[in-house]
Amino acid sequence: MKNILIIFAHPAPNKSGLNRHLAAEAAKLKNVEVRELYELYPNLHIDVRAEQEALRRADVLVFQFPVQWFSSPAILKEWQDSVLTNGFAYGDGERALRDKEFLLAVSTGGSPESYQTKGRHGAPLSQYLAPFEQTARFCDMKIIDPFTVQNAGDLTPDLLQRTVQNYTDVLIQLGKYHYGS
Amino acid sequence: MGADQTFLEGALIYLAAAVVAVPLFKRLGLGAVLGYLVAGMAIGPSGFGLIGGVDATLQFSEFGVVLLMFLIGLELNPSKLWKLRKPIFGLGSAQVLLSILVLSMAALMLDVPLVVALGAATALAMSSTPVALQSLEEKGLSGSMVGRLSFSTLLFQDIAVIPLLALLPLMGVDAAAEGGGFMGALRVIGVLVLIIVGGQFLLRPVFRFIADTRLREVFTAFSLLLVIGTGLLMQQVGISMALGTFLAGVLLAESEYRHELELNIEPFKGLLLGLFFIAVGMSVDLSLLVSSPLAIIGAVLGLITLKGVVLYGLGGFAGLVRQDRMLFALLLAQGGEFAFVLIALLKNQALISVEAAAFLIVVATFSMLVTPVLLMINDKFLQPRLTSSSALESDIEHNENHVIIAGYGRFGQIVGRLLSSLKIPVTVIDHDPNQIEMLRRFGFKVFYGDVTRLELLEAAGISKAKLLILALGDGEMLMDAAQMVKEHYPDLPILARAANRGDMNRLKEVGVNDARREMFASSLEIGELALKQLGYSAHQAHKTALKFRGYDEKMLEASAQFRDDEKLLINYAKQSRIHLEDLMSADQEELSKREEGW
Repeated sequence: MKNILIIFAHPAPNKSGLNRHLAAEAAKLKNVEVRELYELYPNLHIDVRAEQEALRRADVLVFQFPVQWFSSPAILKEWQDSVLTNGFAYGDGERALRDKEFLLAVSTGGSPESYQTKGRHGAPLSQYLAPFEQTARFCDMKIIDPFTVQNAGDLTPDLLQRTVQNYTDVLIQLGKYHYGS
Repeated sequence: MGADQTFLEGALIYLAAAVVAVPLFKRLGLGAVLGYLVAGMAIGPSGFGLIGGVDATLQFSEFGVVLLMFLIGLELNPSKLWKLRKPIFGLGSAQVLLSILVLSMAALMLDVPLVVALGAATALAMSSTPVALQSLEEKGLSGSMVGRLSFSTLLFQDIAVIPLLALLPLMGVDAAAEGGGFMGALRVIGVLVLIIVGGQFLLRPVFRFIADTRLREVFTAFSLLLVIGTGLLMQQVGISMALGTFLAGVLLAESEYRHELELNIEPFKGLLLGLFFIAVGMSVDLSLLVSSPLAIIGAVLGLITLKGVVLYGLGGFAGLVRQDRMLFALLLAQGGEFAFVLIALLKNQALISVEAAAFLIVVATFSMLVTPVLLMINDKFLQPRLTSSSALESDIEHNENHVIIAGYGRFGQIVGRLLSSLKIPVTVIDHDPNQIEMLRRFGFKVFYGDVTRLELLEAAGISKAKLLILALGDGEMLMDAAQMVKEHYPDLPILARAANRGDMNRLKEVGVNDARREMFASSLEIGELALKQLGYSAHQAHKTALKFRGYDEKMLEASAQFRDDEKLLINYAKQSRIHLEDLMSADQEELSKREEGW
């Protein structure tokens, strides 16, 4: 079994209708560690050593967040800037993330239709997720197709339950097998 | 008429003379030393004859020199003294030997018998420690290179006097030297060991015990007791009291009570030195000047010129620039109090005649008398010409750019720990002896004393500090300290702990760069944690607390204008509370409207 680390960024998880449930169910899996950034670091001051230690333990890294302004909540950028340092994640040195797997688990308020070249948001979601994947690529990680939930603001209870189930299924699968083998 | 004076009448005359003469001379730019000397001449037998008992006064007030040497010792810890070994033994011995040589040759040329010439030259080769050091202090040059070289030379003279006092009797008829050399040395070493061990292990608990009583006068009494005790002990084993207490001072220089000792002894030193100068002035025998004016004036000028030339030359070797060499020469060219002692000894051994002794003492006294005048002339007329040519040498002192934290309780400690974790040099001042003991155990450099006393802050190196942090718990004391420092060191940035909202504005008014309410940040954090417990997410709670802080600080700043009117202030406080509620709940509504639902 592989260790999965979920870096979860949500500025107000108590108000979340989806992500809170996703994270809570994921956390029940015994090979999954959820690190809720805004709860751990309410003033955005990140414990770099603790984060790097968690990354070393993990085989799979998941960024889970609601898309805000076509990117992640601010703390995830801060997390990347301070944790993924030269010598640890890239450059000469440890390269601690090499060959680990990387999954994006994101939700959007907008519909799939709005994320089209001609839609309200002007481009497909994948284009907005590209910077995160490039970060992972730069750290020699293997990119897994993202887990996305759209129209996340208007999920029926039934749909919510299925989405949560899908998410845990993806994580269970990831935990079992090495991607591509 | 002097004999039937009471102690208080005597004190009245001395004090009145000093209070009239010293400020007057200081105003006229003639220096305090000359003021005392002239005051002494005025009240002494040669003047109005208001007071008698010159010798007794002189003897008593010589204790001022002892206190002076003790204080100098306190400034020099053993390692600093070790660094001075070259000027002390090199420059000092050169000065003493060359001066004796030059002076005795001059005397021989005037057909003075060899023994008298040698004896007189030796006596007059010594300079006056109080005159030189007091003048240096008046000019604020104690820590400068001239100051250090002067002090080193004077210290060597003090050391040289020990063997001289032992040797001179051997030249005379009464050749019975006292005490075996070896046993004598052993006793000296024994006493020094006693002081080191006592200072290390006994002094600290005793000081602590006394400081704990918080009776300042007992602390002062103990400080004096310590100096007098060690002085007498040193005298017992054959070292002069001045040198003995100097050594005791050096040995106590590492003690954390050093600055409190300094502060307590300083006023006594000042008064007694003043009395000493008055006594020297009183002892001036003007009748000799009247009966043989040319001989006396010639001898004084000859002494100062010859010694001055030697000193000027040596100053060059020691690396002083021109204008400092002049100062160095004039500071030390006079005869000093050791001349009185040595001449008396020579007279007692019948090495010189009574008349010669009286003549020499007058010469020594007059040379001391003219020193302040010469220094003044040097300051006013010579220095301006000399300074133009070469740049001043500045000595770099350690402890530069340090941060002083005044008050090292729970508040100051956190600041101090942060700064020292970054290896920023921190100097701590606190007035709680228990606290000091504790800090000492953790290896901090701590000054003990009252922060509202400027001398203590100066002793702690405030002139070289980069920042002062006032972290005292006592708001009134803190305010006093802030005011005083702003007055004397307006450019030094100050950060202060404020007890409450009112203090915040008062401190800003005094000119403190910034202040923080002592309870505010931590209370706000508890508030933030409370919000979290009540269901806010951690980050929302944090942002809400920050928002509150921002509004609160703005209102506090705005309330400064109502500071003096309580009614207006209360009114404003009420209004701003309502305003704050409005602001916060408006923000809250805004927050809940936002789409953060997924």
